[in-house]
Amino acid sequence: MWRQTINSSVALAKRSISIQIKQHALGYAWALITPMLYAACYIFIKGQLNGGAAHSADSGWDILRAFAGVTIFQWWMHIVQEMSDFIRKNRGLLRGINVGPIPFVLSVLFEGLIGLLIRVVLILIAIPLLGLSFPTQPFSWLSIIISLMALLISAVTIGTILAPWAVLYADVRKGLSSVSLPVILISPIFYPAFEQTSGPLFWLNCINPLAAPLAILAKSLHDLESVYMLPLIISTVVFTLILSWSLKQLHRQVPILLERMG
Amino acid sequence: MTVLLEVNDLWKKYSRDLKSSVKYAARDILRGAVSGGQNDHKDLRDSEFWAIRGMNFSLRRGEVLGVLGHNGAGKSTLLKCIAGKLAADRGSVIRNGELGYLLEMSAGFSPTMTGRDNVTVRGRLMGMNGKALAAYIDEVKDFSELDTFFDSPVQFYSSGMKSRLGFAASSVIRPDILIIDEVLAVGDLSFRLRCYERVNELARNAAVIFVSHSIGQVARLCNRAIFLEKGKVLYEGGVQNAISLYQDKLGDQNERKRGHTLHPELISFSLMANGCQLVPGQSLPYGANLSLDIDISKLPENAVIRPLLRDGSQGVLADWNSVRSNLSWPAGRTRLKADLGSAELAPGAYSISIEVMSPDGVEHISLSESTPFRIGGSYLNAVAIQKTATWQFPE
Repeated sequence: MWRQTINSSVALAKRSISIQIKQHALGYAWALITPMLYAACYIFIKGQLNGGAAHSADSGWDILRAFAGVTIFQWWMHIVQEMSDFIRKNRGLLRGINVGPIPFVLSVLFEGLIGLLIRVVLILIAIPLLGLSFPTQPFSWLSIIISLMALLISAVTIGTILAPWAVLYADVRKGLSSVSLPVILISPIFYPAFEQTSGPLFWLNCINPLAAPLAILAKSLHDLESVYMLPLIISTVVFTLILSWSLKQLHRQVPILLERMG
Repeated sequence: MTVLLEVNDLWKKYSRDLKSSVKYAARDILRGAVSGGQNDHKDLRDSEFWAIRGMNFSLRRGEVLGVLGHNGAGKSTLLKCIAGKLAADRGSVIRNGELGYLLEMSAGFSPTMTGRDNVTVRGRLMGMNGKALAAYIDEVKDFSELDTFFDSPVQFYSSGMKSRLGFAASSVIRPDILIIDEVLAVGDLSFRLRCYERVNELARNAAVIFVSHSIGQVARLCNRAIFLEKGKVLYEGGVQNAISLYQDKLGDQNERKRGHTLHPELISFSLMANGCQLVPGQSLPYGANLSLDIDISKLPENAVIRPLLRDGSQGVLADWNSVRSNLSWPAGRTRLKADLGSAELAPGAYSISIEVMSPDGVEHISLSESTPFRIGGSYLNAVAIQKTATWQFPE
């Protein structure tokens, strides 16, 4: 049963990747182009604000944080959008073939893992290119992996919760594109995270599913610990529970939604 | 034999307008999340209606159940409920075996992917791998007869090619319960015949539910039938009786709709069957002699008279154009008689109307109201005009 589900999910993930590659002349290069543009603008503006000061190690870390932050934000948002849209996009297959919704959810998850690997490779390449060094502590690498997995789980969960509503209301898609910029602004991408366990900024970062993982990522690259590790673990457990509940709900929701889609 | 499918007191409702449909769906989803999947709203809400009402039947292996009914009768809704694609509001569907269905067969094909890639994905979704998957792909390729197009993107296929690929990809299955919805009008005649053969083959070892507007297909494939009207089963039993009921209802509809007219006051006529005036809706035996007694007093001299024979769906089956008979009008005549020959027609609902054109055949002068009638007897096949030949065995 599970083997069949996994096989179906892999087939759907391959199908989705193949369609995306065929529809874009630049394919996965877009995973690099957008963050490069952001990073270039960031370097230029920061350089101008500093009166054209020479490149330092600190500014290297700032550039890496901006590049990695935008790269990961773009990937996270893509997963949320793909997941929230999976019923509408796959309604033909859901209607025409004897297959439930779970393989479609897992296929987005697999696609997300592949996308994440590509972005991690890009970030790892950027570190020596910016003249920076890799973290040396095993705990730092573990923290990086935990924060990336937490990001994947939060994106899949939010997308799964939104999926039925995205079928019923086009506002969901509009809403997701509208919140992109505010989320970038409230996430520690172009500035370092607030590292104190009190105050509204701390709680805002705890609520923002991107903030805590990005803060941990930035600190771990410096071989430092972040105050956001505990909130991240708690929120990831909560997201995982919500995800398993949402997946159970999908079996009942999909027939209702297929009916409304006509 | 084992009962493979049981439909017990099935009810399904729909909403009439989009706004309330979305509102109710949102409420149902929220309620389901809170109550753990229980549907609390089993009664009609504002703007809702029952698309299926209290349906009951069961099906055993080897039985092919035809589902007949006019548009909106609930046929496709019933199939979707059985397939689990729609959630029933009341009642239950018990499936004792693997389910296969030929519904929306081309749905889900990605246009940018080749036929082969689409079929591969479908095969994997149906649980195939390795040699089984390779055999499935080869079988679909052979059956669809797409040749080199099989490796071209589906967006370059004609609609017929897409349907062929869809039928082939969906029908290469061995289910216990098979659901077929209006899918045999695919491709050219030879491909359609192969589709019938494939469905017959599948039906031998499965319980089949077959929905079609084509009476010929139902008569050919089914050994039981139900007739639905407004979501209710009006009849369950033999195929011939279900077809007769369907034809009767079609005839009723036909009699209510007298068709389009143009200056109908200019022409009137009586339809005679075997020399007696026909009462609208009267049932005639196969081969009854039809003739018309037409009042031409209000028509211009030498107008072209064209009686039209239509089937239940208002399609023109035959006409008797006066030009073909080189008809010329003697002066001062007010009536015209036309012998139309024998009604060698399949059982069903028909109508006759008269179209009048100017003597040069260019201008439409009048189109009369139609006179409906029915042909009775048992159903042989889907062809409306069924001539009788003179058969001989030469010495």
